[in-house]
Amino acid sequence: MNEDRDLEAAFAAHADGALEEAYRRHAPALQAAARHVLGTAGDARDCVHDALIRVWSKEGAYRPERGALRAFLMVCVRNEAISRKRSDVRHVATEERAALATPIFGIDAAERVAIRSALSTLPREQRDVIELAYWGDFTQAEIASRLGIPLGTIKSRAALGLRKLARTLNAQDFA
Amino acid sequence: MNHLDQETELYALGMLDDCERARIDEHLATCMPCTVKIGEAESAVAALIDSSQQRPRQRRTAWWPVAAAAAFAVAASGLLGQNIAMHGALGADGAMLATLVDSHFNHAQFQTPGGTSIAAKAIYDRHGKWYEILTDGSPAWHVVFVRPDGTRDPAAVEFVRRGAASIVYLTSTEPVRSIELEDPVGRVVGSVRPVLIRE
Repeated sequence: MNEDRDLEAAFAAHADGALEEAYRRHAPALQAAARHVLGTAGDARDCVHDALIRVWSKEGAYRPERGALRAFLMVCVRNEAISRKRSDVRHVATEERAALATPIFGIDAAERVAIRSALSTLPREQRDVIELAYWGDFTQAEIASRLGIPLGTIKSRAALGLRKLARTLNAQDFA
Repeated sequence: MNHLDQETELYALGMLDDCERARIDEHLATCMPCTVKIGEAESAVAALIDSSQQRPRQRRTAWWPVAAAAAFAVAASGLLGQNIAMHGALGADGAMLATLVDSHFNHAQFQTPGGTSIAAKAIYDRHGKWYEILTDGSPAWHVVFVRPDGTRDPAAVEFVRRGAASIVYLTSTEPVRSIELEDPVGRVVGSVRPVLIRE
């Protein structure tokens, strides 16, 4: 039996102990995802806790057809973290945010090169949007405003860029 | 609501606001094709996060924060050149600290492309073997070594928080013409040009 598949089925069915097991198994990755956005371990722990409770309390939020539970939870946690950060820094000027509010942890030069290499396969206009979203945590509207291009263009660049990045990361066995 | 298209990637990348995300969650509750599609986008973003987190980190010796703090204190106090005076005060990390101090470091303030000083400083071995970059807060800057031929070599993105300051320690076996700090979208926020002694 595949342990991940078993947990995913149990989590989707809200089985007893599934939430605790998901936390036990994935907490380090989830906290790293939150800390990547929020910057401190304490804030990251709070964020992971709240995100998991939110997901667990919503019937049908996760179904095994969605794919890996781990990836689903990482994106849930990251979105929760981004929401928190946006509400915290709303008063900070947009131009200052990229410099001040996006600490990066747990990444060294080799990793940076690997990611940059994957990103470098994207056309410049797609890469700009992905970087602003991933490292800047900007909304689509904020990115459109920042780059001075229409919202629809931002959407299509983000979608095309992430799809291509997914193929590249898959080829490198990241996904 | 129609099936999701580009919204799946926007959702996974965190580009939607809370209301937009809630609308998509509502749609996903009743739409299996879109659930599968958004799962694929989530896997890609999870891979991106993993690629930022999981590879083995470069080994660093435990002594460098102590040595760097001492070096910075010396530089900031204007005691450059008086390093021999420190030898009597060296503790358990004495040998390493002596190596650092005896390497005759220099220091320089980063400046914006417009020439304004920013709150970041580089302390470096005058032979260019190591560089210590200190700044306030927790910036999301990337450090780039610019080589003599203009090649830009991404060196690090991780500043380690030490109290109110953040520090990154780097070594280089190749010559460095200048050190640049980039923001997350690749804009140069500051640079320094180290004065090195060629061996």
